[in-house]
Amino acid sequence: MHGRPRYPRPNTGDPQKLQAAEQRVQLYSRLTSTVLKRLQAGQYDKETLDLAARLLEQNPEVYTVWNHRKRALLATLSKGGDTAAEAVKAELALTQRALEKHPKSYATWHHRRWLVAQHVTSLQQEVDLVNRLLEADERNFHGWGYRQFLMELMQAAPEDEEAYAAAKIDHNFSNYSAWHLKTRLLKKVHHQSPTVTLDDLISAKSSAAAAAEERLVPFWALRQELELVTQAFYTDPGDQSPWLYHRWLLGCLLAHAQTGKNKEEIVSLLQQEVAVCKDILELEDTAAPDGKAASSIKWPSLTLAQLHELLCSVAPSSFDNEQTDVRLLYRQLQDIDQLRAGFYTDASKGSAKILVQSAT
Amino acid sequence: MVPPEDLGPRAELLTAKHAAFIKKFAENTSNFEYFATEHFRMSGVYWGLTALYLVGHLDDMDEDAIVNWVLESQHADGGFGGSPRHDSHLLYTLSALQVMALYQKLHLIDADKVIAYVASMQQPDGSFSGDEWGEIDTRFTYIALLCCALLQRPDAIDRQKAAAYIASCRNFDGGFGARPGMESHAGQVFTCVGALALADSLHLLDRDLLCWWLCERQTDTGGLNGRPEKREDVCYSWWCLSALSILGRLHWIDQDALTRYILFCQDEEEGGISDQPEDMADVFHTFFGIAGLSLMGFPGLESIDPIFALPTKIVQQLKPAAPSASSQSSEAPDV
Repeated sequence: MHGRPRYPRPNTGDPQKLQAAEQRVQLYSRLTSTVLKRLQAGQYDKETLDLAARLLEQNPEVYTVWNHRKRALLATLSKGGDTAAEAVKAELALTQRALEKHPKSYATWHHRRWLVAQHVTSLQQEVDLVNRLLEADERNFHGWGYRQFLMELMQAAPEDEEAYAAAKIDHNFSNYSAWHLKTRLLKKVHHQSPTVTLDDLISAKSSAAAAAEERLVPFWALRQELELVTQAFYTDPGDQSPWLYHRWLLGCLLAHAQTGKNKEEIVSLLQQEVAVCKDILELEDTAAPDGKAASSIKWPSLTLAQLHELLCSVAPSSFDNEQTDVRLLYRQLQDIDQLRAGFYTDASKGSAKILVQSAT
Repeated sequence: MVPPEDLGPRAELLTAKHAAFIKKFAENTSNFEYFATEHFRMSGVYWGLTALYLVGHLDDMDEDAIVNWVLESQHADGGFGGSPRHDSHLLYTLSALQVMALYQKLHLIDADKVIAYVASMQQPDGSFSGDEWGEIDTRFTYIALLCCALLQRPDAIDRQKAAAYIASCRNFDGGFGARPGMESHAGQVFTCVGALALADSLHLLDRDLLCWWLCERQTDTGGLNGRPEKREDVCYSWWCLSALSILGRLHWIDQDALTRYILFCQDEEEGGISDQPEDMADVFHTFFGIAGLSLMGFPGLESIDPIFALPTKIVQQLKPAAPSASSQSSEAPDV
C-alpha cells in the first residue's frame, strides 16, 4: 500500500459510511466467489467473462482471473479471422481501462504482452498507448519495459530509440530511465566501422582486440554526450541522474585508454571535464558563499576526485601528484555528504573503486 | 519528510503494537483489504509471520491452522497459489516454503512435486517464468534458486545458466533490472544479488559500483529510495540493505539516519509501519521496516538472513545446501 494517508482513519464515526463500506466488502467478496467458482468449473460464457472483467477493473492484480481469460481466449483465437481479432481488441480495451487506473499492475501488463504476442494487433497502436502512459509517468518501469518489448518486436532502429530517449531527456534531464536507455543504445548507434590499419595487419592484431575496438563509442559522440550532460549539470548540479550517466561516459573514455591509443585526446577530454567541475564548484560558491548547498557541490566534488583518479591511471607520469588531491577531495566529501561517509572513507583508502575498474 | 529531532513515542520500536497490528489484520475478515489481498495472501502471511518471529511473537498466531491452509494451497502441478482458490505461481510457492520453514515443517511438503514445478519454469536461456503464462523476471530466478535451497535440492535447476541470465541483466550503474535492458531497481537488485549468492556466482557483479549505487539511494530523510531521483520508502530498507549486507558494505550508508526514518514511519496508535511517515501502515511495510532494523542489529530483534529472507536461526537449522549469509563472510574479498 503506497501513498495512502493515515488520517482521517477510515470508517470511523459516520454510521452511513460504515454501512457503505460493509456493503462494498460484501459485493466484492460475492463477485470474487462467483467469478472464481464459475471459471474454475470451466464456465467461460459471456456473462461470467463480463463479471470477471468487472472484478479485474476493480482489482487488476487478481492474476488467476487473467489466467482464465487467457484460456477462454485461446479457444476463440483458434477460430482465427475476424472473431479472433475482435476478441483480442476487446481484451486490449479491458487491460487499457485497468492500466489507466492501475498503471503499475504487473498482472495486467503481462496479460497485454501475452495478447500482443498473439500477433493480431497493431503494434503502432501499442507504441502510442505506452508513449501516452510514459507522458503521464515518465519513470514507470513497467511502461519502459513494455516499450522495449514492442521495439524488439518491431525491430526498431537504435537511432530512433535514441532519439526518443533524447527527447525525454530534453523534456526533463532528471529522467534517469531515459539516460539508462541511452547507455543501452549508444554503442549500437555508433557502430564504428572497422579501423584496421596497415600497422595492425603487420602486427597481426588479434581479432578479439579488433572487435573490442569496434565496440567503442567514437570520440566525437562522447564529446557530444559530455556536452549534453554539462548542460544538465549547470541547470541543477544536485540532480544525480546526469552525474551517474557521466560516470558511465568516463568509463567509455577509459575503454579507449585501454587500447593504448589516442592518449592525448583522452587526457584533453578529461582535463576539459576537470574544468567543468571546477567551474560549477566556483559558481556554487559564488551563489551561496556561506552555506553551500551540500547536494550541489557533492557531485562535482566526487566527479573531480574520479577524474583525478582517471588521469593518474591514464597518464601516471604526468599526474602523479594528483593523488594528494584525490585523498583531499574524499576527505572533504566525508563532511559534505555525511550519509555516505563510510563510502568516502573506503574510497580515500583506494578500497572502493567505482570508476577505474568499471570501463564498460 | 525528515524525522524531527524528538521522535516522541516513536523513538522506541513499538514491538507489541506491531505484533497486535499484524494479528488484527489477519483476523479481521470483514475488512475490504482482507478480500482484496486474497490472491497474494501467501506472501502476506510470510511477511506477517517473519515480522512476528523477529519481534518474538510468532506464537501469537495459530500454527496448525496456518500450516493446514498452506498445504491446501498446493495444486496438482506442485506449485502453490496465493491462497487455495488461486493458481500456482512461483511467487507464492516460495512464500509457502518460507512459512513452512518458519514453523520448521518443511518435511510436510512433497518436495519432489515442488521441485518439479520450479524446474519446469526454467527457460532455455536460463531465465525463469513466474508460471505457465510466460512472464519472465529476475525475481523468479531468485525464487527458483531459493526454493531449491530450502528443499536442499540445489542441483535441480541449471544454476550456472540462471546466474548467466542474471548477469545479462546487469546495467551501466552496476544494478540489475527485471529483464535484459531494463532499468536498475533496488528491489530487483536484492533478488539478483540473492540469486548470484545462491548460485555461488557473486563474481559476476561489480561489488563496489553496485554498492555505491545502493548507498546513493539514501536521501536526506535518512530513508532509502529504489531508483535515482525517486522518493524514499520503507520497503527499500530491506531491498537495499539486504544486498549491501550480502556484499559486506552496510557501512556505506548512515545506519542511524535510516533507523530513525523507519522508526518515524511507525503508527504509535494502531501499530504497524507505513511506506512514508503519516501514511497508512500495512503488513508489507511493517515486515520490511522490522527486517531492515534487524539487518542493522537493532537491539531486541532476532537477526535475519539477507539471502534467505528468513530468521538466521531458522536458516542455520536447515542443512546448508547453499551459501547463507552466515556461512559467507560479509568481509568477503573484493571481486
